[in-house]
Amino acid sequence: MTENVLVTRGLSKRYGSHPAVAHADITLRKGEIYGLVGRNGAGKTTIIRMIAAQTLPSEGEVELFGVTGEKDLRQARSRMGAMVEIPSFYPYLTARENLEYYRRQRGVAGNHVVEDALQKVGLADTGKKKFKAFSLGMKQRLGLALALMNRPDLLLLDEPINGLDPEGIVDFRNLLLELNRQYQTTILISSHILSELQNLATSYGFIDKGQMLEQLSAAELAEKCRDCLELRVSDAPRAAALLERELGFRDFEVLPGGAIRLYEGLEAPEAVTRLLVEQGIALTGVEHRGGNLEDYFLNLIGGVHHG
Amino acid sequence: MGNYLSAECYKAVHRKYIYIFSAAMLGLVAAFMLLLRVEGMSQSGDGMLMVQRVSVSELLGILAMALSAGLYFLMIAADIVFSDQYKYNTLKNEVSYGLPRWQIYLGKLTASALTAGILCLVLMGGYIGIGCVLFPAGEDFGTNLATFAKWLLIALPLWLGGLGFFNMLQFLIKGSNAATVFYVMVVFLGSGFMDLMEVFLPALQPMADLIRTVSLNTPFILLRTQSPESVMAYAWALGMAWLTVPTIIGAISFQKKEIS
Repeated sequence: MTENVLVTRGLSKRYGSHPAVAHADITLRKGEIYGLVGRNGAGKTTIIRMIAAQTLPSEGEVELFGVTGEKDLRQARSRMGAMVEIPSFYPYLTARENLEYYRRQRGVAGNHVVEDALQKVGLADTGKKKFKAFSLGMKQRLGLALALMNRPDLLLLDEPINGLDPEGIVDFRNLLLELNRQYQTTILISSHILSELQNLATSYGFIDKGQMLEQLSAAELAEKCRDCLELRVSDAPRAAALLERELGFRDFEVLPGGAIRLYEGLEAPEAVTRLLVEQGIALTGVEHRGGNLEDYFLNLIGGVHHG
Repeated sequence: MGNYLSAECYKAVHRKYIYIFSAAMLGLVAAFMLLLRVEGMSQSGDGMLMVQRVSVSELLGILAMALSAGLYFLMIAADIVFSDQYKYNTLKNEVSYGLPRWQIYLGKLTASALTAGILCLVLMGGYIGIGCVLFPAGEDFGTNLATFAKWLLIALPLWLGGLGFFNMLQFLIKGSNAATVFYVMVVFLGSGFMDLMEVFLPALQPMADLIRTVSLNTPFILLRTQSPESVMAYAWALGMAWLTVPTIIGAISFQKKEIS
């Protein structure tokens, strides 16, 4: 059985009477890359902040590496790297000095870890440049370097690719994938750049207005996002038999409630509809479905919202 | 805790702030000494310049009278360590790694005390060192040194008390300037304000007496008229109370504070 690295049970946060997060149940297994998807203000950052002890939950609990108590959780967090919102460092120190400060504070052994972390994120040659003179992209890289410095088993990354240039985004993605493959690092990543998440995540959680709407694996999402023709018919079993016998289709599924999801023959839907009508099967609806993560998310939250 | 202090010391020595402050203060001390030296010189009958009146012994007396200024200087040391945590949002890096919040609180307090101690040694050492170069020891040097040591023993708990209070303000109030203003108002202006209020509203006298009794400045004022021995116990009791009560309040409040 795969080890659970992070479990949240009924995790909730209220600010006054406003519920920022309501009863979020999330489970991350070892080696998983979990994409937390939601609009701005949906509650993604609040969930990550509760896991990272930056804010206390109003209700619910966090389990990290199988432990829950306050003291045990503190120890478990030393196996975690976090980058929440905009990376924050001392502006008058260089990248190397900032990391050295945290290395000493955390008791991470070995002087080379700072250099290794800087190398990994491409900041090894920043020299005496102070953090205050860094671009947003460089700040993001340094935030990632800090999160990686203690070689964490769990990475919490909140909007980590904000401010990165296209090359930086590719480097960042490759780095995360390498960590995941090489060290089985479990990653919880939130982003509103859904195309990028789709390149990384092995599972997804969709959140809106503080509520977890759905959680599913990348395979399940791919299945749901697969291009198909959804036919609503009066007699689904008979229609399925006809499609198989007359048109030779094999790749379809019969859904409960009188619908058939057809994954082939999409280029000529009229042949399908003509066949069914000619055979006396009433067709009450034909809809082309599928798309990417973005389409799926927008569909889930009920369309594009503004404001 | 050792790791935490090591990190804070590393950060402090990598700030220009500490060096600029020390250099500026030592520059002022040197200028003050040179002024004393020039003022203390007069031409003798055979044309030689002679140093009159001022001695290291007297400089110690001046320094003893200025020890209450340590209540101001400790804010500099605490500021060097706390480093605008709420402005730069750096505390989130510490709590998300699982460092206990009490350790963060006490770590900053201890590092501030260490930094204040080092600054104190540098400034006092500079003052006495320059004095020894420019002036003679003086006849009653031994006695004055002993008295100065007693004054220092009285100042020490009061400084620690001020540090405990200022550390609490830094953790509880977002913004170093606001914390500084609040500290100055309470530590320096509180008893003076009550003195003034007492003139207009005599009914406030019991409250004014109470505030004078618990003011960190009061032992320094008492030393003008009383022996160090008679003030020592009061100063330690007062200083330790100012150190422990705000530290307990601050550390408990910080446990549940939102870190953004």
